[in-house]
Amino acid sequence: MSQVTKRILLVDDSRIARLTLQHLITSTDSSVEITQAANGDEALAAFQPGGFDLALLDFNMPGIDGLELAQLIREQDSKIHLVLVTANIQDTIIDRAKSMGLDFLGKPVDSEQLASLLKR
Amino acid sequence: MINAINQDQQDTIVELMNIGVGRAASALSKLVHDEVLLSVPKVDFVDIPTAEIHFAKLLPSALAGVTQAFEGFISGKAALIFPEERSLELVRLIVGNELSASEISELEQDTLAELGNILLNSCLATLANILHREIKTSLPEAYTGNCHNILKRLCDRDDSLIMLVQVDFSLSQRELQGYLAFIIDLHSASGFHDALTEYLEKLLS
Repeated sequence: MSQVTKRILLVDDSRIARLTLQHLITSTDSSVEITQAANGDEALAAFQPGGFDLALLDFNMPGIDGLELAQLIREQDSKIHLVLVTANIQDTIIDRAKSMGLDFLGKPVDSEQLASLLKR
Repeated sequence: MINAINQDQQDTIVELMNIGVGRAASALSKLVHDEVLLSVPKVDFVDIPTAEIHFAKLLPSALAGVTQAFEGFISGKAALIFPEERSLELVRLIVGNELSASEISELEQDTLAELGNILLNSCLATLANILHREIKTSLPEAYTGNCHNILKRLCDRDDSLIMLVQVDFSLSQRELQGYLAFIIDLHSASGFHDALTEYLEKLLS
């Protein structure tokens, strides 16, 4: 059995968006371990400090949005790599994400950009 | 409010929607692996009965698609619309041929909602970025129905005065045509008017 190279938390209310991202990620690196969550509450229930290397967070979700979720995760884990993944490509959202130290991926996700983020 | 939108501003709206829809088309093209052909956006300022006549002329009777509400410097609803009979084909183009018919059917609503989310947000975000404003978008909602049902979904108020922006799109390799419609409530459009005025002033200064 291959060793897990990265533990990823994938949060999106759309099942198809999660399936698409999971497919893109495992096509790039099959040794990752992915935990899926459909909203902020599910993500926080699954989250443990030090339990994930990377979290990919949708912005528009029922309940708290992706940036609010990022803040709550960051308060518990200062080292986790956070990426906002959203169709909402407004400059104001990108600026807010960057000011919070998040990387940004617009949907539809470009596989090369994703691969480059996964290598970090 | 309708009279307050002058010709320059109307031309600006068409141009901004052109750019926004162009970005949305680029996103759709990536998702379906085909070239997307677009019409020039058509902007009309109409009341609800006139909008219904427009829709009935343009659209097939059984429709499917996605609506998404937005608010901020403009408020309204956006819709991605296409013939219901082509809905599963569109889903198959996006998720690929590896899944069974039942799996495709199970994913239909979710796939359409995500497709609408990407395309409609792409247009609205481009509009907000160019005008240096912010728009909040709601979660996308997939629907099926006829023209009347869809207009009911898009316009909450019977006395709505709306800016209807229509764009036709089609795929070059496949018989699939769809429409994007943006219904902007002109009762609360002063923010939009201000943003357009500011943009034009900068452009012309």
